[in-house]
Amino acid sequence: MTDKNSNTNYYSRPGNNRDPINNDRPDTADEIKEQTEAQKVKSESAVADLDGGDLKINPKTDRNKLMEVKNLHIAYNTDRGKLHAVNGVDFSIYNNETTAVIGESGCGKTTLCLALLKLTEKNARYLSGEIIYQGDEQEKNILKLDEGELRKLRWSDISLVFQASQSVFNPVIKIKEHFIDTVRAHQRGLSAKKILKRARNLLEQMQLDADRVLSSYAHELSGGMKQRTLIALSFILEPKIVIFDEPTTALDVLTQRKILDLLKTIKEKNDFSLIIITHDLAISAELADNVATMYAGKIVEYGPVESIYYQPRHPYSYGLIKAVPKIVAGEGEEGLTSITGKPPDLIEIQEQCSFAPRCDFASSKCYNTIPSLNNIAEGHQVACFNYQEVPSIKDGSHVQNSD
Amino acid sequence: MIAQYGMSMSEARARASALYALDLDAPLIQQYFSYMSRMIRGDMGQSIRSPGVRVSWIILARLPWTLFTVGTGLILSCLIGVFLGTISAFRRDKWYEPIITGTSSIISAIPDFLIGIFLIIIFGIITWFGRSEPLIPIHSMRGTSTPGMSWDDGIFYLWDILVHGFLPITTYALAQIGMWVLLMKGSTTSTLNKDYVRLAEARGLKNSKIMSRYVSRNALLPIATEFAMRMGFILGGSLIIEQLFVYEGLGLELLNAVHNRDYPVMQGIFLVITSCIVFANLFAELLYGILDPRTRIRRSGSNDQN
Amino acid sequence: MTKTNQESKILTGKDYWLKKLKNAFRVITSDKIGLIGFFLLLIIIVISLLAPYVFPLDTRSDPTKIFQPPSEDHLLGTDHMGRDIWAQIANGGRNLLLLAVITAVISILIGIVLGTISPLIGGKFDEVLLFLADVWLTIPRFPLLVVLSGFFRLSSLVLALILAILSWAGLYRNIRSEVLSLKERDYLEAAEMLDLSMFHLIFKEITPNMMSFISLNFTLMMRHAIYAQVGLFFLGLLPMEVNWGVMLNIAWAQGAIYHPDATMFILAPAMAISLLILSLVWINRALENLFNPALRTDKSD
Repeated sequence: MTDKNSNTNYYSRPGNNRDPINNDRPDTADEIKEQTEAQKVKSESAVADLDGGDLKINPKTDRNKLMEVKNLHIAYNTDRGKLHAVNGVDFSIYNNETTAVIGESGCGKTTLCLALLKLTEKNARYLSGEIIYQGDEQEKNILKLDEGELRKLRWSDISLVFQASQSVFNPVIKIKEHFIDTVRAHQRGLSAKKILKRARNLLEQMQLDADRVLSSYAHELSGGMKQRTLIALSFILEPKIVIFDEPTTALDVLTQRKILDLLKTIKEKNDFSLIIITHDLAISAELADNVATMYAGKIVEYGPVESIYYQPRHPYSYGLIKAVPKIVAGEGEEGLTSITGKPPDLIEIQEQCSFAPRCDFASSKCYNTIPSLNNIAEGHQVACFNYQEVPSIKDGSHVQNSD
Repeated sequence: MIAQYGMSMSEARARASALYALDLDAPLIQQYFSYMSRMIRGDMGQSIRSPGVRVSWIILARLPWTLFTVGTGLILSCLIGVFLGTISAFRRDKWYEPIITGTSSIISAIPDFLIGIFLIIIFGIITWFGRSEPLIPIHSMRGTSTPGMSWDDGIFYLWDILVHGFLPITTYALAQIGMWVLLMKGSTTSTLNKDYVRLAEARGLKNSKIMSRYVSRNALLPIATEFAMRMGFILGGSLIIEQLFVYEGLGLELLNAVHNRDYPVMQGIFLVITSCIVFANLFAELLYGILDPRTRIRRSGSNDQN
Repeated sequence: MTKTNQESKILTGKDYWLKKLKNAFRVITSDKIGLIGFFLLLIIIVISLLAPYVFPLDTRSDPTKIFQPPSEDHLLGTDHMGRDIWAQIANGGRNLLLLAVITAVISILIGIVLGTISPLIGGKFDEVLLFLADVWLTIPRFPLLVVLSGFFRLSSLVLALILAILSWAGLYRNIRSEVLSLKERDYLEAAEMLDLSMFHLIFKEITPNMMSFISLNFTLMMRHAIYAQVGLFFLGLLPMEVNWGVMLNIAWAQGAIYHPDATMFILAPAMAISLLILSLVWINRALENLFNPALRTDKSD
């Protein structure tokens, strides 16, 4: 991944740094269906005919690493023992790119993202690893920073839109106080007028009635308004990295739509890296440049969004995509498969591929060796011994076989 | 009453009508309303024991002493309890946290009058460290003040009142302090886990700011209402303690009235105690409405819940 | 329904309770403080039950032995009439405990019955009862008991009854809201379809779901009952007998407090009452942990 000049052209990136789904976003469910089908055909041709098709092979060469997570292990001390929520994670965040982290709930996604700000719960222990952040000056290991340095880093460099955005505002103070508190924590002595002007601007970008929102208490806003307010708040210090933890989970479909659209606009207008944690593959397909699949505290696959969605190389990514109706739409109910079994208990230490018991492609090797994350193509890494057996999504016959 | 005081029926009637200023020949319902309207105006009739003395005078004379001791105890225990509770919630990994919590849960379980007895035994009876006298001369500390002293003695009288109130106040404070500690600890702990506190942390706010503006302000909400509710029990909780320290407040007066079968006084004091609780409940509800913007808006009916 | 069916149903009911009990025991023993409370109560109960045979009360006074400090003969010394204090302590908890249990049982029965019937009947009845409960909760219990003892001669049993009547409102509200939410659930409808009687509904289907409220209220009620009894005995408003409250009253009246050697006479019953109430508080805490596991487990992602 660090090798910027590789020209493996199997996995393509569109030249305009936007994924094809983004280009003409469908408005109705039917259109989504049609379009995904069309894209399926497109990708089919891309895979089948390496040089032909509409997708230009154009590997990105000017990626700047903004953050690098190296061999991160985080465990929670619980009554039952150590719970290994993050279990050897390596991945990088690049300037101005969007990375989606997908996976089932309880796989360590949230812990990983909280760790990027060193915000994990008190009973979390950082067993090993480092998180290198390339700020304005020199490299910093976030895990080694003291409280004061962390405090400065938080929100001004990295901001975080919480999963539970419905209760993230202090119920006894007004919304504007939240904006003022935040800015003053980092830029002392700034007048309230200036801060509120900036806040108003951001809120209006989020299509909110800024004055009304600012003078409200949290409970006076609807769920979608709160979420948009929090997004506005997350941009108030112009951070380099913004993390969205399940940004739309608690919202109804229309509000989800609106927020995704706003996010896209704001992403176009501003320079920042976005990390989206989600279990909604449609969201990541729409917004992300890269996708990291997480399973049992590990990143098992990382790659450009098109590669992962059309040619996943990890059986778990494959299973996730097959389980979502939207992405495989057109094949009808038969095309849907769920992953059988449960994720492993993170308290037990695994000496095997943690996905092996649920995997259709598992061989005996999978049960006695832990696979490591290997480059299989430019920008595409996977932790699986049998990755070549994983079918691409368009191939219906494999779906039948795996049942 | 007839049997107890050995009066004839007519005597009793005359007495009753004089005590309550009632027309006993009027219909019962009218008597009741006349009695109630007098009550509301603060006229609770006269004492049986000391005829001619109005019940309201007795109550007014005793009430300040009870208010002073129980009120001071309540405020002291609340302040100290909130302080200790906050500390034990913020410093859950420190050695003194289990001591604070453990002691609080034991103290809050022991009945208040036993705490009073223990205090008397520890400070008033047992002679410590080879001294010939106990730590506190409890003999001279009975009552509300030393007989013969009055406001004319100025600062000395004030000091005397404090000395005499010391043991009852300490008892009230100790009896409630554990409850405040546990309540504040629970409230703070649950607030610390709230999403808005974590977000405040993520926003890089200074710790002191988070604690004062985000944690304590919210954690104090239930404390404030509980305090208001407790104010209602100021008068009711004082019965046995006042007996214990022979402190001439409302509770002791009620006990004397019960022993003397002085019904008007009993009724009057009970009425005062009950209305105190009712008013405190109302006050608590009002206070909560003022302190918590969520309820404030709900009342005005413009709440936009999603 | 056939007979065998009913029998099997009762059996499963028994199994259910056995399981619950085992579970309760497991959690109580896993909670150290709960365990201490449990054994403390057990010791107090055993001593109270055995005392008449093992530590009989001194019936005669002995003027030569007034206010003796603790010795081999008299574990806790003697009282103002030269009688053994330990024997009084050992015998003095029995009635308090018994009446506390009676109070708790009665008030819980009232609470369950009203709390179940009121939402099932619903309408005005429910509304009025709820309002009544709210009013009831503001009554200052102890002062009212004191005032009542001025009007009537209370016996311990009457006191237990009055206490129970005074304290149904809290449990009633708990159970009422629980029944309201249970009413929505399917299995109650199923029970209604089977045309089972109201009695059956209350005691077989609903009550097991409310064990948490009931057991928590039980220890709480016992605490209140013990406080009220001891308080009234101490104030001399209840007829004399041998119990810890009366001992306190006598010790106080006899000026034991000003007699350094007699400290034990007042300290012993005070300690006994404190230990009894503490054991109830600790058991209550363990029960809370049992029924509210969320408080017990550590949070993990």
